[in-house]
Amino acid sequence: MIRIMLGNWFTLPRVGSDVFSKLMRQARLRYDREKRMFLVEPETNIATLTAILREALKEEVVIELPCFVCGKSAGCGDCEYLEICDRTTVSNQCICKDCFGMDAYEHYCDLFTKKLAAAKVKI
Amino acid sequence: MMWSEKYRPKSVKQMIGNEETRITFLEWLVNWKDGSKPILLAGPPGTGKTTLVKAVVNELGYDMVELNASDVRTKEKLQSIIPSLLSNVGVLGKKTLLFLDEVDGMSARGDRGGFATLLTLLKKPTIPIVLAANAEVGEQIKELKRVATMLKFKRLPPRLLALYLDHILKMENASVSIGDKIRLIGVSNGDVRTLLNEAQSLATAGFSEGFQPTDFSVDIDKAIATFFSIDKVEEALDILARSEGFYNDPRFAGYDSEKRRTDKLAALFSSIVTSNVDIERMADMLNALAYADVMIGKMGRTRQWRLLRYIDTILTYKLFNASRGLAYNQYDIPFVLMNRVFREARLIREIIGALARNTHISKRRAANFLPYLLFILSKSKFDVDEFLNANNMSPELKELVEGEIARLVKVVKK
Repeated sequence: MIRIMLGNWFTLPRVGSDVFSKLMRQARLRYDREKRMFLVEPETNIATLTAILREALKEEVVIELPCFVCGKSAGCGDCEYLEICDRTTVSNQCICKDCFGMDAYEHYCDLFTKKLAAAKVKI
Repeated sequence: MMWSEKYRPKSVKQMIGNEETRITFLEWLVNWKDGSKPILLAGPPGTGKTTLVKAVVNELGYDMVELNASDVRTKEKLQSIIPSLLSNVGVLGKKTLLFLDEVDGMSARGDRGGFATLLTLLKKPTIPIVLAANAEVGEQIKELKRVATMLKFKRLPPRLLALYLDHILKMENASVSIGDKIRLIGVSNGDVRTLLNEAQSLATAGFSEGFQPTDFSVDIDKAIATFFSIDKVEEALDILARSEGFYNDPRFAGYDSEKRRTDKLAALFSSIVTSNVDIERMADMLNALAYADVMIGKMGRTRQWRLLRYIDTILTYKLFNASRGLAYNQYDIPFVLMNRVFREARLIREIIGALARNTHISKRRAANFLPYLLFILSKSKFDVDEFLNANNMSPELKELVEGEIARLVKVVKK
């Protein structure tokens, strides 16, 4: 099984030039030659990416969303909404069970403000 | 007041989802200078495109001029409105932002030169210009991407929707059961506006388009059978209203086997067409169903889900006299065949929908063109993967498209 956590660089087994070309051209995946790692970008077509990898590697491809609050995996495999969440088309960050507690929305908003400040965007 | 308007975020910090896109958009506007490329916000409805623009404009103290591209689609109209806006910068002492919504509603080739004029006007902006579109692909989007920077909006993950729903319910001092919450989030399909409208309907009126409270529900088969056998019209209405079924327009939401099973209109239809009543009586009943179907379609298109509750009444009073003595019949064709027919019909509808969106023609016209398109595809060097990818269709459709092409080629050979 291949796990891809969105927003994190990941490696793939050797896939051959045809598949690599499909990953770049059709799925619009980003590749860093120095690191030899891949990254899912906002313009990446995740449905196409998973289909290409599944066909080429004959393995299940699991997309994991990161938690916006703590940055760890959102725990998609154990999520109560697993069946109704299409991780190939949803916004690339979610919230994990641990961060989904009391005043979770307020924490989420505060963290967004901090990330804005970190990006040096003043409003 | 609708919750979706009452709680529309006033600040970009109060929004949920699409975090990177929000930050990128803010960076663009904060650092905007004369000649900066316009921004194109593209994504499904209810994901926050308009809310983001309104919130940022509010926070950064801009005056926003909002135009709907479908209202200013001709060259003359665009030339009379936009250049004057671009040259009036600063007259009122406040910065101005131009927001052009639904640009994918303009035709790339038609609209009497409107789209070409828009592209020209976008090349030298003297004020920040933001465009919004539901489509992410298509001829117009391709052209717009040359003059504007595209930012994609995606549907929101269910757990983030749950986070926001909990917050709104807390503010309203309202509650829904955990089961209902999961179903509400499923019905909304990543669309915050739909989620809040549905939640408000459920929390305030005990009714929602997607489902009805389970403790009231009667199995669809029992409900329809009782509906046909009961003597009093009021009781027939009551049992139809309390059935587990609902009214769903597959043109908007598609059909899975469960939706098909619990679709009240489909259950009535299959029971009526398999009955042995005379042709006039059947015509009367089918007319009643057709009328209800048209109403359901209109309610879906205008998002007036609350009006769906009246369909039970309309159907009961229109069907009651003609339908006495009928029996419930779930399927008008054998189940094994029907499952395949409905699955393929759903997938073909997906293809037609994508083609219609990309070529900006009606679904009916796209359906007429589809066999020709597939035949051309069979003769060309394009492979099916490329065709699906170019039209932003799911790779799952590959098998179906290949099957359709094979069938088509066989028919042509004969």
